[in-house]
Amino acid sequence: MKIRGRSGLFISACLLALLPAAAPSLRAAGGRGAAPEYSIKAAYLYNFLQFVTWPPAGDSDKADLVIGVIGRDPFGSAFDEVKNKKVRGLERKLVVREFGASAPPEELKQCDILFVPASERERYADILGGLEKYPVLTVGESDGFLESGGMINLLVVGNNIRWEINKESVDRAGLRAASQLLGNALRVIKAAGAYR
Amino acid sequence: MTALRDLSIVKKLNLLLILTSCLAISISCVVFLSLSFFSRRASLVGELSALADITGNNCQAALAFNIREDAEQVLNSLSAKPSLVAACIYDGRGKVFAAYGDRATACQEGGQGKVREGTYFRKDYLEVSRRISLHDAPLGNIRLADDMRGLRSSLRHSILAMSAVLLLVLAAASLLGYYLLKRVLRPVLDLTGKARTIARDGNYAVRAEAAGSDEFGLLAAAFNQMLSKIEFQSAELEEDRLNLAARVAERTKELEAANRELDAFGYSVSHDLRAPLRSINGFAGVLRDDYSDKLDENGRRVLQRIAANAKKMDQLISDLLAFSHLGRQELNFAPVDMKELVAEVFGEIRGLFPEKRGIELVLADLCRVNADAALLRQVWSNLISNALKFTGEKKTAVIKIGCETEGNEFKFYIRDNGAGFDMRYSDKLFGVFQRLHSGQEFEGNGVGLALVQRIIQRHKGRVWAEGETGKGAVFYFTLPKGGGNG
Amino acid sequence: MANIKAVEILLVEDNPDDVELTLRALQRHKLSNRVHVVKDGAEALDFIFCKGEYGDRKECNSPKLILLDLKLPKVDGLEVLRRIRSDEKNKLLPVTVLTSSKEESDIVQSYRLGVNSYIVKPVDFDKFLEAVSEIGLYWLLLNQPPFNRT
Repeated sequence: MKIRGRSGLFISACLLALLPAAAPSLRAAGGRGAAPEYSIKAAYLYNFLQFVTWPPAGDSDKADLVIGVIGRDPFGSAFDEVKNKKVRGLERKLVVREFGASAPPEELKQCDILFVPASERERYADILGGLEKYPVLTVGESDGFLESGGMINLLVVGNNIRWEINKESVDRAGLRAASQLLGNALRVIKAAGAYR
Repeated sequence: MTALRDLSIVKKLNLLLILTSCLAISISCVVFLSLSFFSRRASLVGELSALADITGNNCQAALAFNIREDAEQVLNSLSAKPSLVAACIYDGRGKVFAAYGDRATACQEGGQGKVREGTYFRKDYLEVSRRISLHDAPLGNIRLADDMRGLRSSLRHSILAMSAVLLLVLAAASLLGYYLLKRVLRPVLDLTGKARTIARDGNYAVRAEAAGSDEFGLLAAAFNQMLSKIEFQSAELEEDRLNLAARVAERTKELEAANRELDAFGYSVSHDLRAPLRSINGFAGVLRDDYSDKLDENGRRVLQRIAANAKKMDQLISDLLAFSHLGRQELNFAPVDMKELVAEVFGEIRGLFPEKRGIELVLADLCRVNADAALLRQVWSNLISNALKFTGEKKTAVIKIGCETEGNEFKFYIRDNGAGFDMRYSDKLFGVFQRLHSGQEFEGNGVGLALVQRIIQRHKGRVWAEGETGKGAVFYFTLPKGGGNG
Repeated sequence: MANIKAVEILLVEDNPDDVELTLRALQRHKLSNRVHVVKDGAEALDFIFCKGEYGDRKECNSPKLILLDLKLPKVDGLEVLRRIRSDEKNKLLPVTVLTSSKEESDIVQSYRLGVNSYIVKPVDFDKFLEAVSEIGLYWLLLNQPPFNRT
């Protein structure tokens, strides 16, 4: 895996600014109050929606797609670009919800994706423990997230943002990650242990 | 074009056969090759499109997450298809995201950030551009460029194969065609050969061989029929010819006999008629010389009359002999200097009229002719002596002799200013013994001009005269340019 | 008849009129007394070869000139000529054919047989006189005979 030697996130953000409208939130580093890193991460979350398959649930076709952020919301307006986009060609509205740090799993399970910011590092086990069986794609951004049962962990590598996946957790939640997601992940944890 | 027309019919038909076969095969080949080519190309396009789609799909994540290395890795796997010279992935803005192989081929920037989807046939390669989308949302484009080497080589092979087939067919068709045509056309060839033989040898007994009942056969039958007819007619003609020849030979013998009789007659005339004449003249002369003193004026006159008549008769006999001899004589044609001849003859005749003083001769340049000099001499002799005779009463005789060229004849004339003649009787001028003047006016026995006419006619020319009583006469005669072979 | 010894001209002519006229012509030049006349070919040959009625010629002298007509009874003029020319003794005799025939065949044949000259008798009397005179003068006086004569 090559890591391009570019100087500064700024430039990589500019690069990302060249990405198609699939990641509209990645345009113009000068977005409203959003740090570039989180613009990218927002786009990634949107992408994860495209590359992960949720188990069919009765009424879920009508319901909104929810991206939940627990604890301190680092995104700001990063999701604005993404909100009106279609996901998987479905006419489903994308909403972003914030949850308190101590929101119970019953509340959290309505999310399709739950983003656990780094600030909640200490509480990974609490948050994730209750969500194991629910079809919620948990995305974190610090070490130990996957070991705690998280599904996707975003990493900043050089000037890029990459991810690692805990396939075991994903499978357990009844979700399916596209092979391309797995293929591009820096690390995939499978039942037999991490490899790569 | 004439070279083609002169080819043997076997070769011509063979050529035709070969041409049509070649044409048929060529057309079929071309059609087949084209169809094959286009279908192959279509399948290549399909293949390539599928490959583009697959590869593109594999790059969805790479595009979505902006992971160039992944895209490049995917693209590199395209090396499995060696005919693929280049591949390019564009992002949503039409900028190059990842490339494989020869960038120049596949990775031209799309104008206005747009990359057109579709299939394009560039000069050296096939280009397929496809959209990459994720759940209907466009991510970017992928473009593949294939050098169609497989297609090209297969096309090459096909063409080679077709050419080989064509050549083979050509060879086979020529050989077979030649052999078969020869057999089919044998009747015609036989006919041609026989016709040529007949034309060359004139042997009408030859027949063409029977040849079935197709058009050739009918031709041969008709040909044979014609030949039979010709043979028969030719035999008849030959018979007629022989008959005619026999009759001609007979006639000729009769004529020759008649001529010989005439010769004998002439001889007799020349000899036996003259002897008594000589005596008459002789004894009259004796009387005149030795006994003239015993005669009175009248007696002497009578004697003179006797002598004169004898002389006249002699002249007559000479002229008659000459006249008859002329008809049988062979002409000796040679180039004649007319002017010289006329001058000579004039000199001679002039000498016969010594008492005449004033004679003026105007002799123009005379045309050179091909004729019998001796006979022409006689012609001029007669004409000139006539001219001198009939100008006897004029103080000065003016005689003009000249020649004109008219068409393919030479026209000679002799003009005198003598007594002339009445044009009303001009057709009698040239008759034997015909005279338009009495012996008292001018001497002569009327054979001279007949002789002239005879001679000129033998030369295939014409004579005629114009005159006016008292104003002179002009005599014309023509000689053909080539020298008539009479 | 002249003295046979002195015959200088032998005239072979069957036509008596022609004989008379010829003699008259020769008479003009005083040549007529040297002429002997025979009236046909046979007689001519007899005379020349001293045969027949001329058999008793003591000396068979040849004349200086023979005037020979062609149309002769008994033996033809050309035959006479031929005989003369084939005789060793007489083949050199000067012979002049004096005839009325102008036929080419006669002329050619005469020369072929070796005649010395060929004269056609003119009808005109004056011309005839002239011709004969000239012949006589020429052959008798001017020409040298092949044989020495006294």
